[in-house]
Amino acid sequence: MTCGAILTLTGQLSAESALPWIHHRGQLLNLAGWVRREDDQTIRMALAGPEPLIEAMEIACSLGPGDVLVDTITRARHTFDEKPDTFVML
Amino acid sequence: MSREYATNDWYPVADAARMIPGHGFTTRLLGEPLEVSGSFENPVVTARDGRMLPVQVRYGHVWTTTGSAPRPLFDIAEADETDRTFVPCGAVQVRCSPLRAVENFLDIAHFPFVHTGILGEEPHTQVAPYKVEIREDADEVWATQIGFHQPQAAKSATEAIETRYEYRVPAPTTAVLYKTCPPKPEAWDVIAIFVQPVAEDMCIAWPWMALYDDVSPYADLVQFQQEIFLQDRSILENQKPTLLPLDPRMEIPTRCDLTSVVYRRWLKRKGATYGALTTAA
Amino acid sequence: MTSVAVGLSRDLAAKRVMRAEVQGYDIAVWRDENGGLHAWNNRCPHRGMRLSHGFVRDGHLACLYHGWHFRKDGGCAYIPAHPELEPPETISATVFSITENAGVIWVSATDTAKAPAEDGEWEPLRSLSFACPPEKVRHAIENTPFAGQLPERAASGHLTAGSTALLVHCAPLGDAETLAHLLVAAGTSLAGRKALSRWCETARESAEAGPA
Repeated sequence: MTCGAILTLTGQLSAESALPWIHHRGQLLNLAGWVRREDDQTIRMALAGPEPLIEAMEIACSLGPGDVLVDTITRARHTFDEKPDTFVML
Repeated sequence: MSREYATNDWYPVADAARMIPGHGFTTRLLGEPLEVSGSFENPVVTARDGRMLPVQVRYGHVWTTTGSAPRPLFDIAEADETDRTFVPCGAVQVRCSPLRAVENFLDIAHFPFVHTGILGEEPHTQVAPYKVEIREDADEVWATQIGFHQPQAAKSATEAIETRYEYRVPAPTTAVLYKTCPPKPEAWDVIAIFVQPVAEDMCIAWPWMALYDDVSPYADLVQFQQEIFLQDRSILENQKPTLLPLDPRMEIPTRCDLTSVVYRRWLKRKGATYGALTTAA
Repeated sequence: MTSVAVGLSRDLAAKRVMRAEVQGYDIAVWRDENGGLHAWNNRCPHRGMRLSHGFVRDGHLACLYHGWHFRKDGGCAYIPAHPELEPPETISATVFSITENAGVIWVSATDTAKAPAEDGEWEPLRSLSFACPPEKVRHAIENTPFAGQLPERAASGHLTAGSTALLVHCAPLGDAETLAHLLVAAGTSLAGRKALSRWCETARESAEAGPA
C-alpha cells in the first residue's frame, strides 16, 4: 500500500486542454497515479509522491491552462493498493 | 491582453510633494501620453486629446484614471495615523510588466539571494507554510501568517529578527506589505508599491512607506528602500517572458510561490490582463 | 555549420557565467570549477529568470532569483525554499551542446557543437561587437587596408596582412548586430597585437558607416 492524495478540481474545466495539461504537470513533477474527468465542472486525480511535489501539483492546477478557471480544489487522503509507477490519463 | 479592466483603475503619475507649479511634465499611462502639471494642492492631468482627467492626491502621490467608470481608489487606513512617518520613495522605472513588479513585491523566497544581508541570508532560506486567500467581500488577495528570518528588516532594525509579514493586493497594480515594526513590536510598518503601468512591458514603481521610525533620517529611509528596489529591478528586467504568464505551463511553482499563483488566479478571474500573457508561453 | 562562436575561452574563467545568443536562442554559458563548459537555455524553469545572472557553487549553476541549483547535466539539485526535498530528475534546465577548441567556445542549439579545425597556432586578441550583420563585418574586414595593403584570405580561412595573421569568427546577435571573436597567430608581438586591434576598430567604423 502507498499513501497519497486525491485532488478534486471544480470550476469551468470543460476545455480539452485541461486533462493533457494536468498530465504534463504530473509528469514534470514526477508524480504517479491517475487523472480523470468526472464531468464538465469536475476533474479528479490520485497522486503518489513526495508531499512538496503533491503541493506543487495542487498549486499549479489551481491556475491551470489559460482556458480553464478553477473555483475550488479539495484534497483528501488516498491509499493506493499497489504503488503506481506512472501518471496516466483515465 | 485587455486594456478594458485596466482603464477603470486609478494610477500614480507623480510624487505629490515634488509638483512644482509651472514645471509640468509628460509621462505615459497604459501606453498613452499624459501631461501632468499644476501644484500639490491642485494637480492637473491632461490626456493627449486635451481631456482633463480625474485627479486625486492620496498616499503622497497624484493619482489619475482614464476610464469612464473608475472603481474607487483602495483605502489604506494607516495613511490617516498621524504618528506615523510617511515616506514616498521616489520612482523606479523598470522594463517589465507592471504585474511582474507587483508579483515580485509579494515574493519572500528571493530575499536571501537578491537582498542578501538585508531582507534575508543563507542558510535561512526555508519558507514556512503560510496562508493565501482571495477575500471576496473586498475583492483583494491577502497572504498572512508569513514569517522569515531577516538580518536587517528595516532601517531601524539593530539586529536580525524573525519578521512577520502580511501582504495585501487591493488592485492589480498595487501591493501593500504589513511587516513587523522593529522599534514598536505591537504595530505594523506599512510598505506599499504603487505601480504606474507605462505600457504592458514598462512600468514605474512608486514605493511608499508609513512607518514608526522617528530616528532614521528621511534620506536614509528613502535610500534603504531604493536600494532594495534597484536589486529587484535586476531580476524583473531579466525574467522571461516579459509579460506575466497566466498559464504556468513554462514554470514550476511550489508552495513558496503560493502568493504569486493566487495573485495570477485573481487577475485571470477578473480579466485584469493588461501586462499579462494569456496564451500558453 | 550550425555551431556558433560565443566567446574566447580566455574570457570565461572558472565559476563564471555569461550570456550568448545562438541561432536565435538566448543561452547561458558557464564554466565549472574543473574548467568544464556548459550551455543551457537561459531561463530558470522555476520562474523564468535568466540563468546567465546566476552563480556557480558546488559544481552547480544556481539561479539568482530563488537560488535553485542545477547540476552539470541540467537536473535540479536543490530548492532552497524546500531544503528537505530531493527534486525529481524531471525538473531540469534545457541543455545545449558546447565545445571549445583553439581558444574559442562553440555552441549549437540544434545539434552537436563542433569547432572548426584550425591551421596553425592562435592566441586570443579580443571580442568586438559591431552594430551591423556579419556579412558587413566580413566585407569591412577584407576591405580595410592594414599597414597600407588589403588583407588576403588564406585557403584555410584566416586573413593575412603583411607578416601578421588574423582569425575572425563572427556570431550574429539578432538581425542587426555581430559579435566578432578575433585571434592572432601565436607569437605575434605586443606592438603587432595593438596594431591589429586598432585596425579592427577602423574596420568597425567602416562596417557600421555603410548603408543599412
